[in-house]
Amino acid sequence: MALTKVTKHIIYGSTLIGHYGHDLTDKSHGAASWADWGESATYTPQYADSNIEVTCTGSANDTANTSTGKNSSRAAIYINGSEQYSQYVIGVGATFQGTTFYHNPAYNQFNARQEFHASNFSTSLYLNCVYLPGNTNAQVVQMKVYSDPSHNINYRDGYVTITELSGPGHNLT
Amino acid sequence: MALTKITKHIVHGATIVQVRYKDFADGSWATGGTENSWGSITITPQYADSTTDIMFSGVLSTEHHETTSPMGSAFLDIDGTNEYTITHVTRQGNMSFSYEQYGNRNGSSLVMSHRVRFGDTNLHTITIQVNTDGGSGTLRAYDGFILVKEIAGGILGANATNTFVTNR
Repeated sequence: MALTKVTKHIIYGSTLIGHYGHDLTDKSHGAASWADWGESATYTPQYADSNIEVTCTGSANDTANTSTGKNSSRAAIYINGSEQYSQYVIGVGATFQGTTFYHNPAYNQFNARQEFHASNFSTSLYLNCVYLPGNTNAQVVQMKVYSDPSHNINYRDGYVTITELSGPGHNLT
Repeated sequence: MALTKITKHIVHGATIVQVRYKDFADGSWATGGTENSWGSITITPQYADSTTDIMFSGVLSTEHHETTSPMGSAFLDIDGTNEYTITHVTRQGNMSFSYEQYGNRNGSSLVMSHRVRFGDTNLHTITIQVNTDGGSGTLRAYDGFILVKEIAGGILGANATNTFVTNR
């Protein structure tokens, strides 16, 4: 009887081909341009039809004084120099606008006026994406950050995971 | 010809050996530097060369009673040692002298992802802890969920420095 070659394709569903994780060095960035957050990781897929899943956790802290202008900041997963996924991680276009008026007619009190000045916002962040490299070349995964307008954001405690999932059986619908 | 026994190691790649998960009850604590235990889960690896993949999600909330807002942090503790820490999980911002807020509450979604290689088959306890750097009010934690997977050794992807998942 001829024996059947055992391959990953005989197992129903996807298998985890490779898995990887590393810490990112903290990054302080205050410019409207993409900058590297931590070190890149190079992962070489074992199969051309594999899916690569990337996740990143950490936090962002806006140390700038948020006044009447809009502040926002983005983080992104770059693969081989191209943006694969990005999201607004802090600010998200929120504005602390101008003045507040109020009036208490019961006591004939009028219009105090205040302007917001807030700083040191923080939030946890989580980014993930799945992509299909389509080859077995080395894939360079790099986290990047961006501030708009230019104001200082501290990105801390980043941890990146990379997982190669076999193609067949993954993302079935 | 004798057939070779098929084990997980013959299949190229890695398999998920076991999955454990748990909901954490909501919690609240006084603000301050003490690392408060939100909840924990145990896992006993079936193989010494397995990688343990940990994913935790929840919400952390602080209150703002003064000019300076407290900063909330989370700690992924394994067997009594902090394996992964995220500071600045939530902080709603300091208000300047012109506008102070009292009783304002704010929170952030929290996700912690980590991978470790225990190198043994002993029981290990994974605990999520939270604290603030001071301030006033109450630290609150909601909707915690932890998922722990044992992944058979398989192939580990390497980077230029040849470091892999954290070895313990």
